Amino acid sequence: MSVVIESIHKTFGRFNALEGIDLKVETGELVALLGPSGSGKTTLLRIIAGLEFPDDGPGNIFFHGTDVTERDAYERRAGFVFQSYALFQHMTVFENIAFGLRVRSRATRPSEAEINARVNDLLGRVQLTQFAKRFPNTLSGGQRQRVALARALAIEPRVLLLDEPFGALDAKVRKELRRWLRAFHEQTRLTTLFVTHDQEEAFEVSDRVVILGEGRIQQIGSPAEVRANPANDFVRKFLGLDDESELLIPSPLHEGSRARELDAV
Amino acid sequence: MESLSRWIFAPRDPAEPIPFSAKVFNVVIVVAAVAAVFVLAFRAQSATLNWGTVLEYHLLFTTGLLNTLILSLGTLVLALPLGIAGAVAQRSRVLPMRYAAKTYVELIRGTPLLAQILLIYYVLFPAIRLDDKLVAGILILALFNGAYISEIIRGGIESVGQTQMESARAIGLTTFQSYRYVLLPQALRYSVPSLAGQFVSMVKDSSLLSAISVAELTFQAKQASTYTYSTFECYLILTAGYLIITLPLSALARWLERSLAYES
Repeated sequence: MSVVIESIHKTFGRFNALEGIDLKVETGELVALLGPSGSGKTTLLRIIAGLEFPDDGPGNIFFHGTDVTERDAYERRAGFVFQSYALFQHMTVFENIAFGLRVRSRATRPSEAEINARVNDLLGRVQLTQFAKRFPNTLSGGQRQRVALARALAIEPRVLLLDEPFGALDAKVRKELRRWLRAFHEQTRLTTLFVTHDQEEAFEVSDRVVILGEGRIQQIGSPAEVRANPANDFVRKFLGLDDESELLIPSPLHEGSRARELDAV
Repeated sequence: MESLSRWIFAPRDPAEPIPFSAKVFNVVIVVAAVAAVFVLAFRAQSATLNWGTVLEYHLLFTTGLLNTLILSLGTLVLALPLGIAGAVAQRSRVLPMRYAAKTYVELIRGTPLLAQILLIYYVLFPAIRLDDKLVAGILILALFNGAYISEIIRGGIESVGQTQMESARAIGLTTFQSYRYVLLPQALRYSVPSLAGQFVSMVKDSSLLSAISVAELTFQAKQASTYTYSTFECYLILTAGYLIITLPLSALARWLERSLAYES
């Protein structure tokens, strides 16, 4: 499903968090929102989810052509993974994942057997099958992160939104989950946006990178494009290019898979 | 020396349970000390306790205890939902609801219960032809305690954290469902200790209903003391009567607190 953002403004008091954002994310894309803290990237993600609302004015958000600007989060069916995970402390891992389905109205609720099957499938995919009956407090950070992801995916979201998904994890787990996310995305092709301040993470995982700074989009492009042609001084500085030193950005993990796709065409 | 310290000091590891014998020993000592103070005080006034005539009026005390129990349970059943509704309303985006709830809380908390009892009983209730004293008492106490409970629950909800609400909305829960299944279950857990304190106060506050001659424990004890002139005896029985209700309530709260603690 595609996401289109048109002319979004957001102010907090006298602070302009977003000053006119236009962005189109194609169906099946994995896009990183990259920027320093205070650049507005998390605000933009929360506005897409419907957790925050843009200032009144001309701004609009479309999910696959439908205007969802006025819709609340619970109507948008966007899977959102919080930086702090925000798991339900009083429910088991299994119930956390199942809950978004259980509360649906009778007409749209899957049967008990379907819910069980779907949750078990997700538990397998995030490699947490043996933790189904545990409570979130008893899990490690990386495990909680994967529960949060499974919970967001259980409702079959139209778009997956991740806020600093690996921010609170140690370096080794970060790397593993990053690869896992890329592989997962290759399988599902779920339209995904994720927020990060870590350029290595953004360049390694995403199809396209959106660089945000001072409430505006500074550059949009594939990792290779951004690396080769930084659009302005802000991007150059943020990427650490202003000293003209050798760039140490890893080549994307998925270069190979994209080449295969192109071959198939 | 070692064995003596076991009776007096809790184990160094806070997780280790205190031996049952040590608990009993210490409670007995404290209770005995309090009793001794009272016995000596009575002696100093050379007052003697005369239980015979007081016990002839035991029916007054048992009906009083029963009525206080009914008042407490009735109030509990009404005040808790009222408090929850008040807490949710105070957070509502609908401003008339929010300000109605805030005004309610401030009016009730800012004025003495006795004044509320008299005003409501003699001004409001006659207008709606409510004259059952027990029902009137329950309604007034529920109104009073609902305000305090709503502040306790509101604090509980706020300590649950904004992201719990957001993650509930993000997986498709409506506002009602978010409160019902995510915020309130967690908020109530956080609130158990404060709620227990409020319920204990509620039991004791019911004594003010004696002002409108509801036949609860305090009113009955006063009656008995005017019949018998044995004021001390009557108030000792009254004290014991309240403890019969409040001590199990505290024990229940501690048990709830333990059994609701998150597994970690």
